[in-house]
Amino acid sequence: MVFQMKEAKGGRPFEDVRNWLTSGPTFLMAILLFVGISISRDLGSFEASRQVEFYVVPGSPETVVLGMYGDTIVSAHFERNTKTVRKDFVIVKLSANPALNLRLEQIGPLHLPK
Amino acid sequence: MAPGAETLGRTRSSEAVVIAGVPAFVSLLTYSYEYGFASTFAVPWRLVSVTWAMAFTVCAYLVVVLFFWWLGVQTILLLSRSSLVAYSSIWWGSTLFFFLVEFYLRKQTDFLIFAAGTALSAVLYYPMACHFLS
Repeated sequence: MVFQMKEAKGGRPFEDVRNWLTSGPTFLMAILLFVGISISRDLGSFEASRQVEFYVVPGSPETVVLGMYGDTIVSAHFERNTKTVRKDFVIVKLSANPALNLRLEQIGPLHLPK
Repeated sequence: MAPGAETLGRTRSSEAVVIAGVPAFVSLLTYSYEYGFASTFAVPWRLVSVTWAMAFTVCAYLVVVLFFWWLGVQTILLLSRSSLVAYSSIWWGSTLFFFLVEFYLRKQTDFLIFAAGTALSAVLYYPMACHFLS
């Protein structure tokens, strides 16, 4: 296979490359989708590894709120001294617990046990 | 068919794609963000759902990152003297850029994801190579 480098026909260099890049909606959408998903996932991971303030549900043992998705609260047991989150989750429906006591505390950044 | 009806139909279908596509895109990004956050604490992915409050943050971050990527691509296109150089520079430049972004954000390198991303970017840029190098 022989590659032939094609120069632009117009005055500006690589006008055709520029035009193709800016006028290819499928290509642009695929790039946006790929880049968007991977960067959003990384951003979420980045925020999680740096977040300091979490809602804590008092009790014994204490649980930390890891996510609030509509009516559902996902919390997990944690150890305050080592700042580790255990992999046992407590799922609470807000509609079933209208008087749930949540306390905002600086307990992070949290991580999973190694 | 009335004059201009075809153009009008095309415009309406484009509008429909934008109206349906933008919310779908934003919700996909928000889900990815929430998934990234939850997976750090090993929260099962089935529990994760989209919260619209996060959508603005995710989009704002993304606009900044994409702006710098686009700036880089435009610079390469201006400086390149051949299509081959432009293609390979964009490919390697983009791969390196996203590797650095991922490295900065996650403070760790997932080489499997990096390898998959590199392969995928090669596939995405392949049509450009075919178009300009054949």
